[in-house]
Amino acid sequence: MRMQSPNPYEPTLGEHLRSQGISRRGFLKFCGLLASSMALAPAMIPKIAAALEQAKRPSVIWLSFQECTGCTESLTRSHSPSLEGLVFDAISLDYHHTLQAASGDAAEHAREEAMKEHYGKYVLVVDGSIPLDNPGYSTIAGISNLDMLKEAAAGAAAIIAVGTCAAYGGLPKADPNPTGAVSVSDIIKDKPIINVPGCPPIPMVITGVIAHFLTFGLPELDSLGRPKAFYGQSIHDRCYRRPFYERGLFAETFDDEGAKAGWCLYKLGCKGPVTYNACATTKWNDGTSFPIESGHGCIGCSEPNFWDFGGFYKAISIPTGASGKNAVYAAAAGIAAGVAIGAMNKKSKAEAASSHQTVTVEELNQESGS
Amino acid sequence: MSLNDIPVHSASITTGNLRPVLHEIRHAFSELIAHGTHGMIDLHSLPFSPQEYAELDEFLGEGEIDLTLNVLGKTRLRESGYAGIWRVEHFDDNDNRIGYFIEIGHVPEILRSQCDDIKEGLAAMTTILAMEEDNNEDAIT
Ligand code: SF4
Ligand code: SF4
Repeated sequence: MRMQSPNPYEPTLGEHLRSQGISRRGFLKFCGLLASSMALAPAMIPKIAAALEQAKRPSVIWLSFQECTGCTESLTRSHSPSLEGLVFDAISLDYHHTLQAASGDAAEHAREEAMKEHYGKYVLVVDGSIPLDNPGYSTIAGISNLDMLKEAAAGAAAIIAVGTCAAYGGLPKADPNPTGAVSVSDIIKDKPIINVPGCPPIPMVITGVIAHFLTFGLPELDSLGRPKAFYGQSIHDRCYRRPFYERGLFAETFDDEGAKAGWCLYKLGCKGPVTYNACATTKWNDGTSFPIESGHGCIGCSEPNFWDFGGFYKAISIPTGASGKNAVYAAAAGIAAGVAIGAMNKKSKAEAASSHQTVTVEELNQESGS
Repeated sequence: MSLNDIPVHSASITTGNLRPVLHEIRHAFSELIAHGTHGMIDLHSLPFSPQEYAELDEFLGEGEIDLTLNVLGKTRLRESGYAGIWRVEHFDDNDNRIGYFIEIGHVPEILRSQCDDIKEGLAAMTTILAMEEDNNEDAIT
């Protein structure tokens, strides 16, 4: 985002990074890694560098509602010197009640000040869902989450809903949803909202979205409001165990020979085929690995209602292919027929072949019949 | 502890991504010769098995240059056995590899002195020389 500011001395992001001792070579490395993390072609690196160099530091107001602070932890515990840290330092974080030193009235004043000063231009980041049943379930400084969200959203240029709770309701919304939790987009209808789901989201993805917003404005979103650059492919598409899936080689228990040999975890409940997220390539813990690499299936944390998918260890029954590659993967699923999809009834098979995108909880509840 | 220390051994896997990448490198190589285009291929976000990384390494071979830069953590530049094809590996402070590119060009981009740095250098040098000459004149008079 390029912010018009009356202050002629407001440094650009490039200047800010250099004042932090980051050389232009460092900046180039930073932009290269950023492009890589955004799955952009390396040819875009000079464009990213030019745009970031000129971008002004945006004011960011971060509101935390019904959440576990895992999303903030994910971001602040990333490795050092991390790209995440660099991007995070490059913004002007004017309110975040977990991270700021100020508390009580002073903190709330900081929020009000920032909102007034940057009205119409600040970026609003939200983690956590919003309870609609009783406003008293979650308040900040006596203000209900609903009121605070509406007030802060009014002056925001855009909203980033960080984590599955803010994006889709998440854990608080899990059946029976005792607080009447809803997502940001259930309430705010008149602002651009970028959903960055995950439980928690990958830190690189959180900052990548911020960086994208700084350089090229709003990213292209999928039908669930997620940036395609990070959520454009399923875990299954990028999974290194995929060759085993294609050959119909599945671990049946967590300690059988197949598990030891690193075979596909589909029958152990892996939700990779219906989950769109970047962790198969970006990975976790400083790029160490991701759950499937540690021998556990994907639980689908970046999808709406993943807590109610019917059990983390129940195999899904729909061979959902990649968007845009349906034909190829329909054929691939055909190879695996009799193993993975053998028990599928004709109706759901036809549905899967035609939609290949969304799967209902009921469908997920069906056993694979393994 | 790294993943390799965990005593679970994967059966050998190939993702099938190696061949296309090799052809992409060859294509970029010929573009460099024909049009002088600098090419860059991002290996980090491709699903590659450890075997495929090893096969790629073997295919490219080792060249004469192996440089390490200290830029936001280390960056290692290695020319391959093919002049003009470089491996560029970016590491963080804890020596975890966080980026891996193949660059096809005379030198990797990050090695060049940056234009703005060169301009700032000229300005600084001009100022220093002018100051020295001023001082000398002061000393003479
Ligand atoms: S089902 Fe899961 S483990 Fe198997 S290939 Fe797909 S994502 Fe990987
Ligand atoms: S593997 Fe699946 S559940 Fe695990 S972090 Fe990635 S998207 Fe979320």
